[in-house]
Amino acid sequence: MVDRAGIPMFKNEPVLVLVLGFVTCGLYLIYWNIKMAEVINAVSGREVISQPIAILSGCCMPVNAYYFYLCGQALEDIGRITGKQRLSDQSMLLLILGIFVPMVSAMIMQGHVNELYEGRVA
Amino acid sequence: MKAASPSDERAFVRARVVAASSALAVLAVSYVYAPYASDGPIVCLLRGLVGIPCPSCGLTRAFCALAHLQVIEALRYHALSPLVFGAVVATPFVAAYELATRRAVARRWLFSSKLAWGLAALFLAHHTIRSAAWLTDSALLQGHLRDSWTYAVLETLGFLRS
Repeated sequence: MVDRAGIPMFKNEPVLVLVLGFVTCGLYLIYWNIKMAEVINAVSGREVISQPIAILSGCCMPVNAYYFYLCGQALEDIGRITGKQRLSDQSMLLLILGIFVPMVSAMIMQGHVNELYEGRVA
Repeated sequence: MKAASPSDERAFVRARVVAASSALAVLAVSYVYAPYASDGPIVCLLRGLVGIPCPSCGLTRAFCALAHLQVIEALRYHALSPLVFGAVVATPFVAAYELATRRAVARRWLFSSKLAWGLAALFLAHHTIRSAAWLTDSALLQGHLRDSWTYAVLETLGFLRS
């Protein structure tokens, strides 16, 4: 079982991901990709997403879609940690959204990751 | 790192075969797509909606140019493209080496936080510099904004003069 306190802090309003993505001309999404990869690796308790590849995933649509596919697979682990067993693998949904509207995939992931920090002081 | 069980062994081989095949596919598509790259559709959401290119915009065209060994052309599209292209070219060789030696030599680079932040800083610096250049030579207003989907919609609806 992964220690909840050991998960890196990365709490954000999901809509802020969208806004900052546009306002910073996509630069924020590079930062977001690295941090999310760090959180997913910690949640899964193993190295699932390579951080250098996570940066470059934004450069190539298929890689970006695969990045969100891996993120979707980690949702089950997030559900286990937060006690929300209903939270299932949404890899296909995130993959499809990752192809057409990656920012929406990012918002969905951010929303679920935020649940990890409920009741935790930043 | 040595593979332990048969399932680990299979996963080890599968990961390298997938990585090598994907890299070769990217190189093949870059070579074939080159004649259409400069006139291809805008697939970047940011550039399409607001007309501002994202940090990786230009990499497709740069990859196509590099696949035809046009380095100067590639640098014009994206100055960091040779770096990324080099990584893609190296992937099949690294995968073959790892399969031959059964050692995951690239793992320390793939999961290096320092490398990740270094690359992020490089992309940040590159994008800041080229955005400033686009602003000063009016490429942003005259070119990118006019190419956006939003501009096309507004123009079609008659809100903008062509």
